[in-house]
Amino acid sequence: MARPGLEGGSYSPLSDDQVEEIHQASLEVLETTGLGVEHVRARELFEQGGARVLGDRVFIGRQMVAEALRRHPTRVLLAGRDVAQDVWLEGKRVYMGTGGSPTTVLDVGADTVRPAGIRDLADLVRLADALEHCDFVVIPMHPTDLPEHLVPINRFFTCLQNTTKHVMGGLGSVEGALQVIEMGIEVAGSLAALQQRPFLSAITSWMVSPLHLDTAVTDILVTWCEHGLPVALSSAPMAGSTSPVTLAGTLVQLNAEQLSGIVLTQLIRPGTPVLAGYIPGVADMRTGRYLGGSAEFGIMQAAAAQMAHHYRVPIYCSGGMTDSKLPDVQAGYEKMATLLLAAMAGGNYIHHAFGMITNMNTASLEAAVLDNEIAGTVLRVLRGVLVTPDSLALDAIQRVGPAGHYMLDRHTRQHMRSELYYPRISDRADRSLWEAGGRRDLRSVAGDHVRQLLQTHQPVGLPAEVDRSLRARFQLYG
Amino acid sequence: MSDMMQAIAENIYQGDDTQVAALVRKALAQDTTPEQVLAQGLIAGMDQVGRDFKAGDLFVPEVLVAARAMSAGMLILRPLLAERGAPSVGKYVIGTVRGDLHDIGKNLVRMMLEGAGFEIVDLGTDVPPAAFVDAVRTHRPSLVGMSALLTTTMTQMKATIDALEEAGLRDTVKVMIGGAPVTADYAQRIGADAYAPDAATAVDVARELAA
Repeated sequence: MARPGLEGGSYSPLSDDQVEEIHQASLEVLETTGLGVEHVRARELFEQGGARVLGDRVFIGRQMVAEALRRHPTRVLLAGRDVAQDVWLEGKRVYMGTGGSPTTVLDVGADTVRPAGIRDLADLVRLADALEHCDFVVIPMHPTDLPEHLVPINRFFTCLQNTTKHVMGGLGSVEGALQVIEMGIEVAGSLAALQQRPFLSAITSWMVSPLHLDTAVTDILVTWCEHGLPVALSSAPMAGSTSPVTLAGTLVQLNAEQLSGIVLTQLIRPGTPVLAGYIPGVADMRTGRYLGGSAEFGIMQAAAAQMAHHYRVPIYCSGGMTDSKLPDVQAGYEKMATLLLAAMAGGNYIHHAFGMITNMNTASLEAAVLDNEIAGTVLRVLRGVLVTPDSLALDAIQRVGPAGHYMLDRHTRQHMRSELYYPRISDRADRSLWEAGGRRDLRSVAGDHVRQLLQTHQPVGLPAEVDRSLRARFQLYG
Repeated sequence: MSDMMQAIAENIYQGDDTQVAALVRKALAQDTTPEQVLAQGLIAGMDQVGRDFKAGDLFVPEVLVAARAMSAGMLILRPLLAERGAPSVGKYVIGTVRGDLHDIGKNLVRMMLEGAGFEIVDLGTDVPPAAFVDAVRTHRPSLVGMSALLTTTMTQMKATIDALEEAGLRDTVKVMIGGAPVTADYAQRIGADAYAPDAATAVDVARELAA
């Protein structure tokens, strides 16, 4: 039994005609504006695939896009190490997990941040393993206490030690990618076994918007795809600075970038399991700063999900980011708005949803626990209103009749647990009880919950012999 | 005469670089000194831009077109000011560090600094430490600014500072850093002189360091 993955799709900011308009506009961008590609191999692949190449500029025709869209899988397995944690990305199924790569941590109760270390990553991942609404782990931290060349392998290793949920992350370098693949093979038994049940996958931020390939990351992308493992493309323009300020214009550019990425992955290796990675940020035009928690982010994310559904390509997207510095009221409403919009649109793989504040800059364990409450609410929204002969409750209404009550009716007992959502820590008590309990803010309650989960939750680590052999081969901490 | 200076200031504010250049030439032809044009025209305009930006009435793109107009004026004034021995605001070498192609932040800082009258040497993106060292040796700037967006490339900032140290040039410049993953704490740890969280603050910090 895999993780359930409820269906989204009830919120669609674009009409079918508008989806088509954006699609056509993106094709025109690829044909007439093209991409900047300094990466030689990628340029050769594009050219062999039929693209027009002028210097570093690559122009991709409609035919090439159409061909790539016939080749990519429409259903992608991101496996857990435990089958119960499998995530099947397809259609409008929604999964939510951690993400971002912050370099700082906000400690429980603190209002200043400190540099993140590998132990902090272990704690946050262990927490993510324990939180029931967290479907997967996108490596949610960048430790600053290790030499840079040891970071990729140690990030993945630490995650595998602390969760059986799927682990996805950036790889830093080709060397890092090859080490992670080697580790995956060691754990899985063979490359074929890893391909069949990929419990590791890569994020490649290969695109520097607007329309410019990052040579170093493209190298990683090529290497990873050649191994037949799932990959999430990621481009993250900011409306107003690295993409047009209009939401439609940003969607056109972002969609063109994603289509070009799908083309490239399918040229490297036809059938590569690819997640289109639409991350439509906004620039604050008053300062130029990145905004991850704005309403426009949520709307564009939903529209992007519609584009991905149109192409039947699974979408890697974002929800639950905030620009706030603390897990506070602003964090609460920004996270809820962006996560709810992405989920209601049917975004398949919504990362950034647990344990991050201040955009992608700071990890917070309290936020992770609070985010689990938000995710629970979002999942309840996705379930919507179930209408069946039984849920219409005609028999119960007849039994209770005028002026009665439902507390004693068996229909209530039958459905009350499944029909209603019960948050874990949200305060719903009477005011007097809240006062007697010390008048506590929810953040401080979340802090207790963090400590308790870290003390009690025992993740299933790697088998002892695998652990030993990995430690013999790589320089591993933790 | 003051009408002319006011017209320059207004065109700076409106971001009309062609008009600013034309008016600066006209003013100089009418025997206004370059110092006067700079102080009463260009800087007066930019000061108003700065005030309205801080008040939240002007947005970044409006500041940038004003800065571009300022640069157009400075292009004409700078050689004249140098001839007359007027002190310059400062020379500033800027770039995105090795391995990083993200340049929107660096470009914003560059344009804002130009607007503040700094003379900029822009090394572009993916700039290795040795290229920063060469630029410092060649251009003798008072400031060096480095930008990084990626957690994987920000370590290049330290490598660059170390390279400046090794070349014996570290004491000749002040080093500023910025970028999404960068913090004031990080700046201190790697031995940079200052950190700025955004482009507007970068100008204030640069002014302070150059003073």
